[in-house]
Amino acid sequence: MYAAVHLTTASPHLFQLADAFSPYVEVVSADTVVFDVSGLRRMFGGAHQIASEIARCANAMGLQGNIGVAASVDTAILAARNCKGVTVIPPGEELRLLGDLKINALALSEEMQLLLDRWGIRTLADFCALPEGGVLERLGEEGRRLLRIARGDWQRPLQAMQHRVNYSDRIVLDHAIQLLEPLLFVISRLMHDLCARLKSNGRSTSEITLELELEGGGRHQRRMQIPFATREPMTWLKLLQLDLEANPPSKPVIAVELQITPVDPRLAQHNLYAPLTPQPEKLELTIGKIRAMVGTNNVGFAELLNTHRPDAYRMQLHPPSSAPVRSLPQQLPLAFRYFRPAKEAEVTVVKGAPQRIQAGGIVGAVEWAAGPWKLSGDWWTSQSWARTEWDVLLSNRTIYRLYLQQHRWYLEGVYD
Amino acid sequence: MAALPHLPVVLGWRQETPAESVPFQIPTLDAVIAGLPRGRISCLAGPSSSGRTTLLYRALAVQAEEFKALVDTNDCFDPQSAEQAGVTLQRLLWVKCGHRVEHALKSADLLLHAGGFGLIALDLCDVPVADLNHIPASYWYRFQRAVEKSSAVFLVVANQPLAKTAAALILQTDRMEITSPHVAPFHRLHTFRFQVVCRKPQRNQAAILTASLD
Repeated sequence: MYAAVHLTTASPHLFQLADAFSPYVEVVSADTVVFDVSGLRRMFGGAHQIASEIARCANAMGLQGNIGVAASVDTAILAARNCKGVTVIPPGEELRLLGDLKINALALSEEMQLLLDRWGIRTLADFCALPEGGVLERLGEEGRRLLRIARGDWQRPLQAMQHRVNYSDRIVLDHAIQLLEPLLFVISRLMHDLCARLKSNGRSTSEITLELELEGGGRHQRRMQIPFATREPMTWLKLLQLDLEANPPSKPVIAVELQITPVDPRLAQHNLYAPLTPQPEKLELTIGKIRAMVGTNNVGFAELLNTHRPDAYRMQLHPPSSAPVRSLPQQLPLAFRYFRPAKEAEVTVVKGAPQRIQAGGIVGAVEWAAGPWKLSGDWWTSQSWARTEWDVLLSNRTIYRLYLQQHRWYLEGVYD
Repeated sequence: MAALPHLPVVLGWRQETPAESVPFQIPTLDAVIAGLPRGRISCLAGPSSSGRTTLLYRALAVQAEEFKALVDTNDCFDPQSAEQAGVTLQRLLWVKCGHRVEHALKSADLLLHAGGFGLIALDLCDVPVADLNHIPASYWYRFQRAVEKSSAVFLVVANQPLAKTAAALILQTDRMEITSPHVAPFHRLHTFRFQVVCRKPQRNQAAILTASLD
């Protein structure tokens, strides 16, 4: 059962009136709302009592208008907009009570209104007398929908307005916290509350912001973003713990504020034949633990840069959502291993070709050399580079890549 | 006598089931070994310029739709030549350990326990022998226990075979020859031939592979 309230003049208190009776409120227009009152029967009684209670509250709030109560959403709206005072329409009585209304009470298009006028249809009762099949044939799906609304048998779900939920919390502490463990205990409480709020609203999150107010002034802010949405508090807590271990606050903490950005939950279609992939939560936690050990920039997914500059890549923190599957090359390509950083070398050059190399622990005579290959690039940017490369086989049976840059020799790596 | 069939269970012996293998998709090598066994430790050993990294990149390239991880002790990985070898970089988690063997071992352990990876490679090439000797043997058994619960391939690449008794497969690589077409005024490295010998389980046959710089 639904109740609709239509005001003579729009008021900002209209939503408050509806909200006082039901959490499911559809705002139809600035002056009309419709809400679900099916749960109020045990509190107020029948439809007439509920309608009277709504009218009493509306009067108390100083709202002037009409109330319609009916079994369907659109019939209640129709009654509230077109019938004065309080109108309660029992199921099956729609045509009897609303049949005298003019046809333009329905939201007709100009073309349809002209057509019905030409047919001599003046009231809802006239319209309801038409056969449904004929209306569908001549006026289409929209015509049939309006016919069913007029008959009171058009059922559609209420498009309830979402409540604005606050997804941030703050705790001011009586005593400052110095250690990470008690701080995490406080954060855990906030996190569990916020994740429960997400769950009850069918939302999830992929971004949180932690703001710590420090003793003696100052703030320590940490913002975390992961490539998938989750509302598992333990996953977030572990990630926060790893992050705070790597970036601890400089002073004791006197207040904690946690803010999360709600997003739609992740939808995953599991497939029995899908290839092996790590669970996103586990992958993120594992990467977080390794990152805490080896450093943030040392873990990730390499992405090649669009340049000929050697060793040009950047690390992506998260795997891309989709990646094209590469095919295997026909011929096995020879792999290369870098020395990072490149080893500075002392090179003996005879007739323009390297003859002997000494670089760190690598010493040997050049048995075979291919080069020189003169390379340069990015001269149009501030990162221009130019060098001369050689591939050399040393007496230790290893093939190296050697290069000369700004009058200095370097061993860049080894072919392996 | 009736209790005898249960004796292995009481003593904690386990029935070894044949592992599924991931072939290299190189006909000459696949003729010698079935591939890298899942749920087992495999070792790839050889000196510098012996083709071990070429084989490592090939192992990272096959089964391209799976997630893989490379624990790079000496920060040697070359994404460009890996991509040329067919590695899908978007599905390869690269861990640079900054020449710290301890970090490499711990990272490998974390990745093995995370699950979901098709292959985890631990690159210990060119790590000083003194550092390798300091790796406790218990690490390899820990890795063995972790990997046998998963369907991942755990591949250890180093100058010498590590994880000897814990490894199910040991491959040894060695360089045979390089060829270069002498085209005046330059000549360049063209092809590189190396051999792969299976040391465990012992095979008499060696696979001769050719890698190209083109």
